[in-house]
Amino acid sequence: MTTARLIALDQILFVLVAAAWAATAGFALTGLRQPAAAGRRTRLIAAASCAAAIVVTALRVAVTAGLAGAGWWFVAEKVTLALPLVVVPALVSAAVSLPRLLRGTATGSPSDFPAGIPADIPAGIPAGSARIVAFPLLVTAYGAVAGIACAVVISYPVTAGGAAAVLALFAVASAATWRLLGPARSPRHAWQAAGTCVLALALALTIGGGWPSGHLHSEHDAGGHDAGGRGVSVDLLRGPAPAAAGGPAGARERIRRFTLTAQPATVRLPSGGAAEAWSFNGQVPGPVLRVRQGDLVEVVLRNRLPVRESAEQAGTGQGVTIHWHGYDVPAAEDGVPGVTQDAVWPGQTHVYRFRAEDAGTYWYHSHQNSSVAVPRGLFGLLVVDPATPVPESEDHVLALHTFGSRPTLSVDGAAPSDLLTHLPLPPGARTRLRVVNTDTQPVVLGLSGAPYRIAAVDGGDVPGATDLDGARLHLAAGGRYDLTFTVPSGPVLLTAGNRPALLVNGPATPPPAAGPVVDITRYGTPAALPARFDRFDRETTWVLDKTLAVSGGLPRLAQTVNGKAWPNIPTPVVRQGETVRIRVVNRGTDTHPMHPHGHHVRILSRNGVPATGLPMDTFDVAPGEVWEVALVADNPGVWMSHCHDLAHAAQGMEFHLAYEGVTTPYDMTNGNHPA
Amino acid sequence: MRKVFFGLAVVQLVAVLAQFYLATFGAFERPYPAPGDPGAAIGYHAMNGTMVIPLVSLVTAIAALAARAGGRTAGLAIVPFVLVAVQLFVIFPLAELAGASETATTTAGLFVLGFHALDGVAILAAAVVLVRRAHALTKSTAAVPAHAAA
Repeated sequence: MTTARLIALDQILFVLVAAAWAATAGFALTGLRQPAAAGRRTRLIAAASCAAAIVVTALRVAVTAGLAGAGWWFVAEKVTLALPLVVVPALVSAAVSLPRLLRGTATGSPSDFPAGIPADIPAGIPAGSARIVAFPLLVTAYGAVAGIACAVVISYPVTAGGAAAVLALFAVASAATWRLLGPARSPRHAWQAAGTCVLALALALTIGGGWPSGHLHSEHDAGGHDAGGRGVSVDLLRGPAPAAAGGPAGARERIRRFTLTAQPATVRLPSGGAAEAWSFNGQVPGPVLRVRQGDLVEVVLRNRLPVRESAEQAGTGQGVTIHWHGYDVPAAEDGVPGVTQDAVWPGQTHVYRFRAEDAGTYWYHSHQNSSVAVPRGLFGLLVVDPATPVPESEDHVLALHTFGSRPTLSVDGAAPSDLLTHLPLPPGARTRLRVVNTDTQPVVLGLSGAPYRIAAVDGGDVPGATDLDGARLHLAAGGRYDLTFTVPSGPVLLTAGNRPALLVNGPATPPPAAGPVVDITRYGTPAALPARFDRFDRETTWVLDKTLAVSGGLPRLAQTVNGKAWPNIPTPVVRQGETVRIRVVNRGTDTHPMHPHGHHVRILSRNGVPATGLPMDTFDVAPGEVWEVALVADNPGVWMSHCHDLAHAAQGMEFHLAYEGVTTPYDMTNGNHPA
Repeated sequence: MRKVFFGLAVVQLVAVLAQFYLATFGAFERPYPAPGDPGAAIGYHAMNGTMVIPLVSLVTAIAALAARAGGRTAGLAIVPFVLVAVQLFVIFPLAELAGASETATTTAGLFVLGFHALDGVAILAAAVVLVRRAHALTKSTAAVPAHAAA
């Protein structure tokens, strides 16, 4: 059984375990209140329920053992906290309560009635054993409920605060129950008990929720924001200025200048739908920026989005930046508001400059309020053609994007279409389709009608790419595949999801590809990894999960990394030149396309299976998966790392990767909002 | 204390009713928000369901115990908490096991997800019965003051 299925089963089981023990305790209490003869049946039901509870508890232990096989990250809080809290009292229940429920003949005096039970009970009932019989069952039920709390409050690593919160609730509930099951007391005691419970609840929530102690975005101990003015400011890590590029080589340098103006536009789809969008230069997607390797690229960003009425200072209206997705630019050109620059507000401009050194398929998008801005259209494609052209006669860029609920395709920067797009190509031509997923969800691609290759992944060529026939491809949110094939005499169909998106040469449509989905980590020839990857200077683990954490100033179910949400996730700090091994573990039930800025990572393994070592900048970590990737710290800066399901980033799944000695003067004030 | 318990039971019922309102408040948003969009109108439904209702249920159950409303009534007060756990940790994982994901559903997944509404109806029923019981308790306090002092 896959780890993802075990995670789902475990979630179902911890609720069943809690329900079974709670029901057992309820039946037992009812049975104890009834006269010996009448209560016999109820007590037998309680005994049966107890047996069932023991069975589901054992099942949960078995599922946890199965999960442990996938790694300690998946079971740490279960083995150390959740299971002991239910298994130990369950054993006591099995030894103490179960035999007595089956015999069910103990008797006691009416003064032994549990305080929580109304006093209108007939005399002669076996209430004397309430503490002995019901207490272990109730404590087991509390332990089982604590298991649910563990799943919601605690991720990996297990924090002292979270564990203390769960233990405190468990202990207070158990102690209060012990007293309530004893002889009846005055209402004052009940008041005190209730007050203690509420206080304990508040305390537990306070500790467990991990309320932020400082101001927002404060957790950068080393190399982060404004480390006392020491170190190099990220502002100094700019791209080359044309003036500085003088000299013999610089004289012949090609400078490519573009202006991108953010402005409102309406997207009209061929099916008749229309959507209000934010565009670059009135186009959605924005213009395809096509440059040649070695060019100096200069992009002027102008913001002409509307300003809100009465808004005169920065931080009002819709800010914009440009992030070069997958292009490892110098840090100051990375376009992340609050980290490498301030958001560009309506009426303002900003200039980006970088040398196009790496050929390949990339894209650009606004990183200010990106979970809103990118779906609304503030994106476009960037293609760097190799200095020596590859022998392809046809080369097209395809952007997949969903407007509202409508998946669309834009070919070569044309208006997006939610119907089948036709692309006539000369038979015999060697063709490259550069497919870019600009959505926040993965997409499964299929190409049928011709054998094809994945020539490049995330901009980088795939060594030893082999022909695929009918196979399908899983493309991560933000990821790119370059597909190459020779145009046959018949038609070729590209499907995205279940939607026929592009038909090369019609009118007949071949059946959609229905083959297996290619494991991209095993495609191509294993690359010889650089010798520097023989040992790693640093190792870090990102455990992805959905747990209760402070996000946006409030405790909520957030998308977390190592149990914390932005901006409280500790910053991994590296030194220039170091090699870093990153282990990414997905404990949750959502897929997370992880995107470290400024670097490509080499994929070392997935679920322990060695990978070919492809460099990628956005890789999909599915539920239950463990990826190992390697990064060379060769681009100093303060970088963002985040989930490219931008809604997940907005719900907390974003953090920094910082270089020692690099600081940034920017922060989350002034309306900067990178997710 | 019984009045406090009654008040909390009413608060719980209001939160549960609001949950039904918020479900349709979010369901008809157009254009469709992206899955998990933090600004989606359905977010209020998720927030109320995962945070407010369980918390109010927990506090109401404690108040029921303090008001000496009896184990059964306290148990009824905690029912919404348990049924929310069922929504989050039984129905959604079952739908995932049946093949539903954030972007695509299957027939089997939809069959499971339909029970999301029925579980909500069960929460509503528990909240209504609890308000009636809590109300009856406030009456009995007035009728039998000796009992409360006992």
